Amino acid sequence: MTRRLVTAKRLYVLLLATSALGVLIPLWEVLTHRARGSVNKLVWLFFQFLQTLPTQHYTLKFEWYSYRYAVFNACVFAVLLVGYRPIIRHLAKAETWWHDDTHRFPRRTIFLTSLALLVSFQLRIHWGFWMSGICGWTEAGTLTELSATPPPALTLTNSTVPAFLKQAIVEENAVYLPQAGYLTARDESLSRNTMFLHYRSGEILPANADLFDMVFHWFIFRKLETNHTQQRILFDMIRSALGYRVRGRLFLLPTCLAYPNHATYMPISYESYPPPDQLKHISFWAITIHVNSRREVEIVHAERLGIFDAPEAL
Amino acid sequence: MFRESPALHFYVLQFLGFGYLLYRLASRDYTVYGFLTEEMFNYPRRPPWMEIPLLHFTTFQWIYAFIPRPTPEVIFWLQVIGIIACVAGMIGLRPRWCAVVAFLIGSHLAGMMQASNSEVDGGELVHCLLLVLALSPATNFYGPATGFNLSKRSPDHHWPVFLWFLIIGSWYTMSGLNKLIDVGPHWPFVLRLENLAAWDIEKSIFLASKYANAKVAALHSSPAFSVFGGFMTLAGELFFLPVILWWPRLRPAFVFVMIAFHLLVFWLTGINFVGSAILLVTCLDWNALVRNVKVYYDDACGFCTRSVASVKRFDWFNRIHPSPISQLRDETQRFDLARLKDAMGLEDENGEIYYGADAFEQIATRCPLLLPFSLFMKIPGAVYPARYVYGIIARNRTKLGCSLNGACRPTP
Repeated sequence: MTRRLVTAKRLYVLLLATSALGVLIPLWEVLTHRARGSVNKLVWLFFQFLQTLPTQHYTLKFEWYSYRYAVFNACVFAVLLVGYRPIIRHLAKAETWWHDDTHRFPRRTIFLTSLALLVSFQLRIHWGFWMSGICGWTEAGTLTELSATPPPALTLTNSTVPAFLKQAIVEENAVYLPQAGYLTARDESLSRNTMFLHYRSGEILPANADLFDMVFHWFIFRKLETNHTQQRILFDMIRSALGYRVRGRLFLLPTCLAYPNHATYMPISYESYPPPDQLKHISFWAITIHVNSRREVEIVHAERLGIFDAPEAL
Repeated sequence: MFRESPALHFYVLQFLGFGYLLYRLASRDYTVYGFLTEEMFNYPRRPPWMEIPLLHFTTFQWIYAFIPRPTPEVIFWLQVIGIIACVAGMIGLRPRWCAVVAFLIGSHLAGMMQASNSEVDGGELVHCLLLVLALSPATNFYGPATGFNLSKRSPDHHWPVFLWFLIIGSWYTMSGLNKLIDVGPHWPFVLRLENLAAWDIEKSIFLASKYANAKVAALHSSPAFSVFGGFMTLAGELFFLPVILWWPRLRPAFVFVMIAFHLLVFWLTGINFVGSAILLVTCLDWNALVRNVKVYYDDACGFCTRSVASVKRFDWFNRIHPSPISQLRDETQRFDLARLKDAMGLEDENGEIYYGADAFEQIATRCPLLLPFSLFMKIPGAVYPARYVYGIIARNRTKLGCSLNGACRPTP
């Protein structure tokens, strides 16, 4: 009985300590980062080392996220204090369960897994093969861009828009727009813009980032405009992916059966594309379209943001 | 705690765990990571003042401090070895070793993704399932060495399933808790899917955009739907762990809600977690299909006797064993005889007792043609009208040809 209680109390202290760390570390992190622009090694060990979240939010609401996380752990800490007696009672039961002689391995596996899940959640540990669930998100900040008036940057006339750009438009989806207006597809990251493949035969065909088979490809191509290594990698990746796609495959399975990428893009059939070794240039474009009241789409402005030669031409 | 269970549920884990990773490895092209330079594996989503994370070590990315990064060809063959391990695991050749190899390769390849561009790509759950399989007793698996035995019962078949339920349930429940912590209890009201739907329609006009299904988006323009969808998602996630552990009747409904949620996320955001549907299916009570049941019926009642005989015609796998209550002897301690006069009783192989409509649900689960009735009764709340209808029929069975010596007068 005494042994049970001692172990239960140790477990209780572990939970209490985890909760306390969950309160103190985020606050400490925010304060030290504010003061010095860096964090000390102890904070790093407990927080940045163990988790990758909240970096997802770092660029926008990192402090807000840390405060909320600290408040949650403070609530758990309070529950542990208030419910001392029943919690100790349950932990003592768990301890007895652990020490039962039958099925020792399963009991210990389940017990330790439960503890690991709990602590991982409180400290938001990312194990690589396990993390504490998908974070909270909303679409409250998502804004539509359809505008009744042309964008101010609209300077080119219709006659200067290359005809091949039309291939990058899915006109049939315009019928779902609530009204007529102007829309622009342009992103600060070059690789997120409308991509075209230029072949030696003179054919220019559309492509998109599905070929990269990555979740956030723009972290790879941060300096695509100026960095020749990144331009070479761009060609290597696209040629490799096209090698499968022109044969109607997504890696080893037929495209129609294969499991789509985690970050999926609008579908393009690459089966009629020329062989990948014929690829000569890759260009990226910003496109502005006008959708009229009959939901007909016209490209009214296009700007070539970058064009890169195949590595063998460099 | 660990009850004797048939092996079917564990076999389902073995088949779907290896099968889903096989599907991922044969579809996803990780060779692209062979083109990247060393400095691109720098955990770019972390701020500069954060250093190498724990997952750098758990996914074995640290080995590249000592050996060169693999070329696309090496990664290709690594994927092929992973695929071979999954195929071997699926057919039961050295499945525990295959689970270890598939786990190491799967999580290492995911580690390359985590080091270079993202934290998750939807493969976490299947890696955990492989870990569960790797920890399970070798005798649990089907295969040439161990055979395929559905009648053998063992506690070893039970605890790995429980461990898996704990893990998958925690994943969804923690995701629900994250919504409460990161946003707040008002999450469904600020979800604003209608904003996303309008944005999706605009983006779907450009081929360069993330995938968006304009038809589905057009159906989601109502703020009320967003609130409804938000509540369903939040409830589905928060209660997922308790439901799959303790309320088996609600499991199909919760699994359905989570699959619908994954599909909607795919259609509206182009983020693909749909494969998790394969793993969600493992949360159903597969062993119910192979557990035998004893049905106790009132043999003094003609209607009851005829009903049981009718049901037996649908029992293609001989899982239902009718027994007249006049022969009830040892079991009298477990059954309420007065209740048995009004409603049939059923004892599951696990020793669980059911009466009336609940017993019929168990019977329907074991008869392929009656399965739709079983699924209907698993809709939350559907059991109450079912019990009501059963009660009406039971009370009026004298009008349905019950009489055998006037024995089946319903008890007052």
